[in-house]
Amino acid sequence: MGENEHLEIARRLAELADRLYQDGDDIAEAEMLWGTVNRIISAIAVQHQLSGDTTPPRRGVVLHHIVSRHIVGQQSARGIRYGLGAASALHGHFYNSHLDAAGVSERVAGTKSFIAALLNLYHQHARQ
Amino acid sequence: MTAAIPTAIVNVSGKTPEQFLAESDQAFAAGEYDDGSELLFQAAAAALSQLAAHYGQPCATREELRAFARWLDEKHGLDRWYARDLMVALTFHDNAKYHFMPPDDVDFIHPLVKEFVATLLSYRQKAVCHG
Repeated sequence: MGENEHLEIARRLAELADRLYQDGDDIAEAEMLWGTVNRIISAIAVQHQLSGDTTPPRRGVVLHHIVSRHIVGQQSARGIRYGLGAASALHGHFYNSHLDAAGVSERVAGTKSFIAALLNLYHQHARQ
Repeated sequence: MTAAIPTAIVNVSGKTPEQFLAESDQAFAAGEYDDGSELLFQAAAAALSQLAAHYGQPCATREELRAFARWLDEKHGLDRWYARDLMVALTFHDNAKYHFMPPDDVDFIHPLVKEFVATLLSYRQKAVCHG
């Protein structure tokens, strides 16, 4: 699957997350945001030739590549680690419903910032 | 959603943050991710609790930890620095119980939580010396 296909699916998942939020379904919204994050990371993996067509990229490998190759600065690297923590917690919430409303809200905000940062990384690299 | 009953999540074993941190390092080195994650969270929670005690604030439950982290952010004019890092530390605590993060992801996020603990320990030292 190519970069653009991953990004298109990410866009659709993000829209779906917004609709689920408006419907008050924070658990399904959480998983759609997690899916959005993963699709953008997949696009970045293809962009950086970190995965073949049949090999799904591992998030940790892709994000480690971005951080260790100094594609982002130290503060941004911190933000990426934080973002993966926020998104992972939402993924866990989908299965376990372990977060309270404040916890979900905090992590949704963190994950949306992470999505914006990942998209920015993708587009910056695409322009180079 | 979990019930809004405050439950103490800070370990009352009397161990210092440094002891929790050392045990966490040992557990991660042995590939024991659940133990390592929980011990690293306890290191952060114990360091926050010591600071909270210094400032006369409660810090034993999840809600109190979050409130104290927000209080530290406000005190220093920071935009959710302590609150954000605590959130990730709490995710390690939750993951030790629910297992939603694979080891790769834990490895990637791990430096942030360790840095958070180191910052809290350094802050505690300064707070105790300078009030």
